[in-house]
Amino acid sequence: MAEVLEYNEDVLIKEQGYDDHFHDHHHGDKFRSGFISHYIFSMDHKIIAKQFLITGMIWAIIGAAMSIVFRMQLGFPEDSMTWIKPLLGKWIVVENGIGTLAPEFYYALVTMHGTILVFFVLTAGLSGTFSNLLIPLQLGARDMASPFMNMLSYWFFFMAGIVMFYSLFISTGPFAGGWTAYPPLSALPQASQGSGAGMTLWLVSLTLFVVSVLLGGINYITTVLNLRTKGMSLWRMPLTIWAFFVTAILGLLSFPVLVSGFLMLMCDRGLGTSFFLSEIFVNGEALPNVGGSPILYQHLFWFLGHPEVYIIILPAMGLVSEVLSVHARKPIFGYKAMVYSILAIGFLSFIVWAHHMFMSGVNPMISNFFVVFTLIIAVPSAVKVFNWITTLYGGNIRLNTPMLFAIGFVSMFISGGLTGIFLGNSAIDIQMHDTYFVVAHFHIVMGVAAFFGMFAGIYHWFPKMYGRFMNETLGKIHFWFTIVGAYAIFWPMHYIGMAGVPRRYYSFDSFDAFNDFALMNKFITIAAIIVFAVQILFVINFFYSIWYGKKMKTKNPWGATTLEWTTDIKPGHGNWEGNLPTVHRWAYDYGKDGHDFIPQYVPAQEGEKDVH
Amino acid sequence: MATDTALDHDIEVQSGDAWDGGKKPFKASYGKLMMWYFLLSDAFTFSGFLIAYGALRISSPTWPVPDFVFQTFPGGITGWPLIFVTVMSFLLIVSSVTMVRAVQEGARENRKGVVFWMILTIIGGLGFLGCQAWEWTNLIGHEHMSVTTNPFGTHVESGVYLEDANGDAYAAGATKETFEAGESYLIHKHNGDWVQREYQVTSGTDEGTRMNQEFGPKAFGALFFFITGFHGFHVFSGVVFLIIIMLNAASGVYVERKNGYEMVEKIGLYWHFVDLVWVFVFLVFYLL
Amino acid sequence: MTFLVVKGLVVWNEVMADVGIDEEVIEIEATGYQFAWDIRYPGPDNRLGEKDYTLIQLGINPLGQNWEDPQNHDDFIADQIYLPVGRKVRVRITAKDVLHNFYLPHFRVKMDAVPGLPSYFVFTPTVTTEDFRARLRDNANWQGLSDPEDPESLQKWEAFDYELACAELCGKGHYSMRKIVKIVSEDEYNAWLEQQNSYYMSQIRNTDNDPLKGQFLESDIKVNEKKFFEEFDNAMSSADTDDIVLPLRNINFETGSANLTNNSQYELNNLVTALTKYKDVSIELNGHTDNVGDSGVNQQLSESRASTVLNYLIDRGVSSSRLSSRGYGDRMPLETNDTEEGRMKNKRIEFKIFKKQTI
Repeated sequence: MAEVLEYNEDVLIKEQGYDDHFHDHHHGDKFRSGFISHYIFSMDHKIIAKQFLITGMIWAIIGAAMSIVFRMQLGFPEDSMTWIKPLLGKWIVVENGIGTLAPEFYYALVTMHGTILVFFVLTAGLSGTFSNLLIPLQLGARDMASPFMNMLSYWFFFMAGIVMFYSLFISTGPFAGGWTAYPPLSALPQASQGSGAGMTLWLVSLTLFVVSVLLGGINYITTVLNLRTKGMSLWRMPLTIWAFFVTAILGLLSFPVLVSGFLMLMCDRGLGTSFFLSEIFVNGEALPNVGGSPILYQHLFWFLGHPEVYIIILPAMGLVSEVLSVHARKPIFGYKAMVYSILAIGFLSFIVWAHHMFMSGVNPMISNFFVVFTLIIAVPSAVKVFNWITTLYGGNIRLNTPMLFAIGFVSMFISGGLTGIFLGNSAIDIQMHDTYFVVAHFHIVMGVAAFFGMFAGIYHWFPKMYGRFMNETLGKIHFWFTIVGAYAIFWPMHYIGMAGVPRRYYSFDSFDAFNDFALMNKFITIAAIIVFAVQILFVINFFYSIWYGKKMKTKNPWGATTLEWTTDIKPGHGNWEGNLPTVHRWAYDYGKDGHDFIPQYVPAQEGEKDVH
Repeated sequence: MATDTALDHDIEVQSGDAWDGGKKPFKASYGKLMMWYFLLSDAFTFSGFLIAYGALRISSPTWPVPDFVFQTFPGGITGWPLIFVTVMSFLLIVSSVTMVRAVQEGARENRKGVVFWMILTIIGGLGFLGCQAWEWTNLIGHEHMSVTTNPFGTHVESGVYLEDANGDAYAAGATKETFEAGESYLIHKHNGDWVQREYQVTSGTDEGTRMNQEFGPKAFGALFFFITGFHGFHVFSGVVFLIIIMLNAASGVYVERKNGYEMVEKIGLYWHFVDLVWVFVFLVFYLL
Repeated sequence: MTFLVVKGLVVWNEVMADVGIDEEVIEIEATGYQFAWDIRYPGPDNRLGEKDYTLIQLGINPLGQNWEDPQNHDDFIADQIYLPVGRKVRVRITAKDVLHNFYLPHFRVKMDAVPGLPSYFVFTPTVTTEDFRARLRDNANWQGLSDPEDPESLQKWEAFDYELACAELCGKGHYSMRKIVKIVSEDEYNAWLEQQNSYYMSQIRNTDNDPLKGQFLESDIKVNEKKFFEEFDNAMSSADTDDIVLPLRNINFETGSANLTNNSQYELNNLVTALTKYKDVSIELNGHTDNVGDSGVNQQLSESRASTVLNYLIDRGVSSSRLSSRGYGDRMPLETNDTEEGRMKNKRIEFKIFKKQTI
């Protein structure tokens, strides 16, 4: 370790800090009044962040457990699953003593797995947690712009979760038409059991969820714009904040379009309108609907759906940038390029949606534009990857758990990004569309990668959240099993996909062409079970460490420059006891002028300039 | 919303670059910013609807002509194309003007002025809703349009009717009604049954064939009720908020607030937005 | 990267291009529904007939074909996809209920089937099923029994078939929408086409579900016309100078009356054409009935029927000087009057040709 300069932050903040008259209004912390208002209906952004995180973890376990159940059906179709019948009841069909998953429930599980992971875990659990935790802390704000709306945001998310959870237990089963909910399948209860009450609950749940995202997003944007502390200009914001900021903008602009699609879908289901339905003969009956277009829904959906991918991955990118820089003890390479590439990705994500629809019967001419825009996204993504790698190069790397996960993220993002280049090419997509290649691609690039970003964030900021460290040994076991396991799950899927095996198949028995991969499917399933078990280990580590982890002794254990490490070890509501810190430099002064790091609140030395 | 002020982010205006932190770059309070972002996202919801409208309309060759569909006026008057909806729009736009006055009075901390102009705005909003209610009643009750049936069709060729408006054969010597391509018609109900009048085509490739009036594109009814309904819902919630804020203003709640009549400003933003959306709805449904 | 994009787009546009207007192509139609595919071939006219989803009746009209469209009359529904090697194929892809996806994994063909919005895919099969099996013969993965429990079953490579699948989630049976695709030589394909029966002709024609029940189809009219002129021309060219009697087939009257049915116009128009062609011929129209009922009534009926036909011809511009009519009642049966069949044959109109003579 290089020479560590000791800064007496208390003195600096007290003397030079920025008085926002906080204590004129708040004599004592009135928010610590009782358990309910402190932990349940809390308006403190740090508590809300923890609420998002823990709710997200519960959903992650449910969603992942679902994937294990349907993976078992795929990997071991001959083996009996009667042992799980007490849990799943009638959804396990027992024939000749062999219990198999009912196909409709298989599809329900696949659908719920997608919905839960995409929306509840990787949107709310990731962006909700860290935007809430870090935006005020890293910007030097007392709280979000509107703590009340912030609380509502969580409780709308909670209600969305309750509704979705309830839908798992109704007699016709949860929605089973894929997380994209394409009509007519999602609009016609005649066509699929799950499209009845299950779909209604699904729509209600996701509409509540969108309300939550909008309440949160409006708050994040306003906070970033209005509540930066003195000296925290936009170009001094950590990359995490930039990422959350752009994420919130994406959510704000794309989710409403999804809602418009949902509302029309509800009308088609309930009122007999024909927005998305046309010339349908189902269940022995010709429906009166004419003139609608199922493809219109796909446009509306993917106008959200694609930005949604970046809503998931951008926060992870922000977290990883920060973690990499802190633990490599080096300034992030190409800070401005990183910011511009976040903005470019955000912008481009709005004009590439139809690359999900090359094979959906739209005019092939349109695809030409979308191919070009899609592949342009590779440029800012590549910029980010090169900058991460260059940041690592020559760094004084601490290989602790958060750093490992951050590096793992870069690895996953590269692997998944490369396959994205193939899929973005419409000509190759003819073969790859809706095969396991796609499954492998998006699981790696936005599933596993986003999880790695999230894990890096949790291990890194856990001390800030709970004043204790998570167990390093368990953390390293967690990392190594997860990264090896994730590749073991998804790497073979590329081969299966290239061979043309379509996704969302309950069984491959009926096709000679798809039935050759039984061994690989077994392997994938076993790997998935192991990875799942390791995640349980993480959960145990998490909860154990909250109460029994190694205690944090200093305010700034990682030697980071950003403001969240200047608060008390367990900051109260309002974050800083006295003045707010004033910012004098960017967030990445590592290894400068012979100092290991210089925090943001340290005034510029004589003749010193901002680096970037 | 009053709880928002629990943590007060009262930041002083300082010199230096607006984006340097420690101040509000847009010189707007967080509440107003949030309203702007909410409106932005709401604008996207409406765009979603209007894009759907455009897509479905373009794919249908027999979209009814608005001049024909919207030609009724209360009191049984027909043949006044778009007059009624003009009245409606006028009410809404005038209410926007009165809202501006209310905000102005708010800035002057003039309680009575705020209340007076807000009451006028509320009356405008209620008037608009009333008009919309009448229009819907007329379309549903009188012309039998619903979200699933659209009795407004459009001829793609010229022709001559072989039956009178009640679906009976013409009396001897009666002049037969003719029509041009592109003209819209309304399929009436006679004694509870739809009357799809028979006609003979007199132009185009199908010249000479006999046909019956067909129902218009279903999407017309669905989109009309859906989009104007969604907008009407916005107006309704706007009126509710206006009333609440007007009552607050009247009882002097804002006199004590540090940010004064900012709530009036915020609801004003919302009200102008609803007005603006109506301009677009008006454009696509009534003018195009 | 640029290369990838440009090359990719060129390929994409080549693959997705629709066929030219005059290009020779086999067009078939695939309709997805829960949970199978229906494959419709255009039949000899190479045109797929119109469809309307409101006409769909399960088991009777599975695709909702409009039988009033003559292009539908020779269409047939095949239980496998048979295609000749090396010929361009355009698949029109539709769906009945929800989204499906027409997926031929071995051909790199994939396209969504959308209810109400037909899509298409154009491709050319290059290797026949047989050739592909031969290629697999030496492949280690394709040895062994295709059905391990049946020692008599074929080797794996022998049992290979191209397949059609669904690649868009369409409900609980999504994974089972299999159809076999056979790529064969041009000759085998033609032989196979020969064996296929038009769905309309074999299942619908003249049943209660046929809106054209009792009416002549265009093909019938053509056949009748050909037959009529053959006979007439033969009669005219024969050296025989005797008067020749020819039947007027397909002339029908409403029961017990002398009103012509709609179907009768075709044969009568043929006769008009023939008389216009042979200007120096005159004919006598003879009416006959069966022996059911009173013979006086029959006599009257046969006379009035013959004169109805005569008037029809005059209306169409044949000079009345060349025409005469006569009724024979039930006196000259062609066959026995004891059977229904015989009686049908005895009820008839014939005409006698007088060459170069006037009455």
